[in-house]
Amino acid sequence: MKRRGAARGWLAVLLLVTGCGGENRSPDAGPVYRSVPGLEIEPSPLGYEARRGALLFAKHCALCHGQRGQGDGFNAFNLDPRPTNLADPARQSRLTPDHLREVIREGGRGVNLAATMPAYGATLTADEIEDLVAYITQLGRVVAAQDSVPGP
Amino acid sequence: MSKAFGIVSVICLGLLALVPGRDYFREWRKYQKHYNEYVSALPVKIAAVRPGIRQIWSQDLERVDRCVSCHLGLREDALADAPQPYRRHPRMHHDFEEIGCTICHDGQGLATSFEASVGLVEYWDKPLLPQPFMEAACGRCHLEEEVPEAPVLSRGRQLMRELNCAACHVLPRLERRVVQPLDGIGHKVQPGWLRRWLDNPASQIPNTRMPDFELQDDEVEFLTAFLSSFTRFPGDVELEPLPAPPPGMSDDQLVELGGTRLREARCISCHAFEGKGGRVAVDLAKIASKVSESWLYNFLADPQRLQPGIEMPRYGFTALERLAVVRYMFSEYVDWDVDEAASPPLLTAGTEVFDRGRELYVRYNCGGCHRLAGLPEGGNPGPDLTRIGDKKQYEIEFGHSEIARTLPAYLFAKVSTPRIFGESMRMPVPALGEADRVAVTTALLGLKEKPVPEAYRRAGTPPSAYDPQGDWGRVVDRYACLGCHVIQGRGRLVATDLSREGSQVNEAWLRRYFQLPYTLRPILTERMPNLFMSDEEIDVAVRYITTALRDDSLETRVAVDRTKSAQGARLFRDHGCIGCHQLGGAGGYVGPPLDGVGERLRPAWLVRWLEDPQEQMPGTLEPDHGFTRADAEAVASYLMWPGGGAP
Repeated sequence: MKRRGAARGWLAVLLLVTGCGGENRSPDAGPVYRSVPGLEIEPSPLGYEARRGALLFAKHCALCHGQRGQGDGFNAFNLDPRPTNLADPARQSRLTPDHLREVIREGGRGVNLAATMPAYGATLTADEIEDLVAYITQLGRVVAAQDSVPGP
Repeated sequence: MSKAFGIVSVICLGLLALVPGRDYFREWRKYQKHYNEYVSALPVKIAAVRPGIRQIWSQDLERVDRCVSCHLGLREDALADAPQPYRRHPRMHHDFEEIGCTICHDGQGLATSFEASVGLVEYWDKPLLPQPFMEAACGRCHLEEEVPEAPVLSRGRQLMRELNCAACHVLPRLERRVVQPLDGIGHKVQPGWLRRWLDNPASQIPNTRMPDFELQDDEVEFLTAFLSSFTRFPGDVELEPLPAPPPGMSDDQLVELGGTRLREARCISCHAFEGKGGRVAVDLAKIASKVSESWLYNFLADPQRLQPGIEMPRYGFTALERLAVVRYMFSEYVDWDVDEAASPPLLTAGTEVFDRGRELYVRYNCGGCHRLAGLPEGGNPGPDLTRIGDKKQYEIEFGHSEIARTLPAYLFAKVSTPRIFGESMRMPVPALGEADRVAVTTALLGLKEKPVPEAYRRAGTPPSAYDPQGDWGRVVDRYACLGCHVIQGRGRLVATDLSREGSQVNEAWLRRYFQLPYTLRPILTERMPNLFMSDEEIDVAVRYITTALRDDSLETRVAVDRTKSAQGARLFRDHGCIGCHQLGGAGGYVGPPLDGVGERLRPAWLVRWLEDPQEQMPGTLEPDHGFTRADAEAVASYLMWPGGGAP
């Protein structure tokens, strides 16, 4: 009897030992592969879709809405009313993804705003509009973060 | 005996349990279990996964990727903001279920644990591609220079072509470009300038393509003296002496005349002056400290004589005007910070200068980019870079440098500070900002050993065969039209594509435009210069454009007339065109002003443009308003007759 108990004891020990093998890594284990270890290159904080949106914004929108979407583009001063400041923190609650999607697709006239905002529904594909929306929703956060850093 | 047998059999049983036991307690099982718990708690219905290894096997690409064993939410829209590894994959043009993951991300596809798949383990030297260099993977299949939606890769490839990396390295799809010959350099540039240039090119010409060779002071002296001894121009061309100014004219009057002509010719369209102006040619702000007066005079007379093939047009100046321009430039565009008197004299040309100079010229492979009579062209290249993206980690010579031991870090450091890997290195330092260096590293990382299957490759359009001949060809050569315009795929697109210009504009307007160009889009820096073309040349150009550069499909009949102006005006207002165009004294400045547009544009083209701008000018900023043919005709009518007519 004691022998069998000893055997069972050994078996239990063996099974326990094999069970303690897996690494206990939590998800989102840190950005070890987002930048090159040892290099000072900062990866972009934007996701892939937002980066594509940034390219589209720079091409189609920045001339009126400004490089950072603050309504101060090259052409902004010729327009009345001025183009929207998309990075304005006070406006963020109004600039929901659905609203942005509609304005871009239907133009200003389609949402009862100034007709000087063209309708891009025929120029941009649905995916491109999604990318733009992903970028524009980030603009408020990016500008707010930059402005909150205390100056020299 | 039986006791020993019992113990051994228990041990065997234990060992038998060991392997399946270890296999059961794997990392990926934990993730899958956690995923099922996570999605069951969400309000949206997402299917749970059955436990087991999941993989994507791409037979064409010969890869097996098990990333999907843990990355379970790649297709689920609802998991766009979920924590990794359950997050949805960003929308993209490629289907990862076909091509797998590692073809774009690198890493170890067959691994099933986090560290092994990222590749931070021993004996795997292709870790996950860092995000700043992600577009290198696009370069595997997309072989053309300009890859859509891969701006970093495209920029890197463009830089590699412009900086002429092929001068010293073997690179796929890149040919060595030879710049203007150095013969006659002794009579072209001032020796003080040459000394400063060889010491640090970017200090003399800010956006230069010549890299910095980090020469020692004595090397600079020898090379300057050596190069200054070459005073004969290619083809034995002699510099004509400057003419004497007419007796009645004072120096001030001459300088004033020169300034006026310079402004009229609008050199600023292509040349910047201290950064302000066009980027097509060199910055002229300090040109008087670089070249000799007689060289500049001869160059303005006929650029092709001194530098064959250069894209500068030949202005129709008279000899006096040319002299005036040269005097003006030499009074204004001087580098005031340089004290020529303080610089040491040139070393006297002798055997030592020739020997050392030649040795340096060959050592640094100057012949890779430059031509100089009697000296080898190329012949002392650097390493072959055709497969640099697959260089094994153990093959890289890190030397005493302190960088991370990975290939991207090595390539980035090579492009930024090549000399940290050893003092006997010859590689020069290109003058690039960090973003451009990331771009070049990205382009290099895309050069892989094994090409992808033929069906996956995208090679881009073949080069154009357009080669203008005859009188038109001579006009194009003399005025370097293809330096700013594209015709049938050949040229550089700084201004417009002229391939269909004959169907786009009216002949009378075109003729007037050649006589006196003006800017069509005020927000652009580059503008068409006033070339002072002769009447015969204008005639040749106008006849060719209106006869040959046409597109029959753009010349259909359209119904534009005054009666539609009112309807057109309404559409114009409703679609906010005034936001980007000027009309009647108000409006925006993005597109060309529309006053009198009927004088310039043909109605058929205008209607087609309004229907589908992207077809006429791919990449234009003009949005597609969804106009029907009738709408487009109405708007065109309004633009041609803004005053309107009674309906």
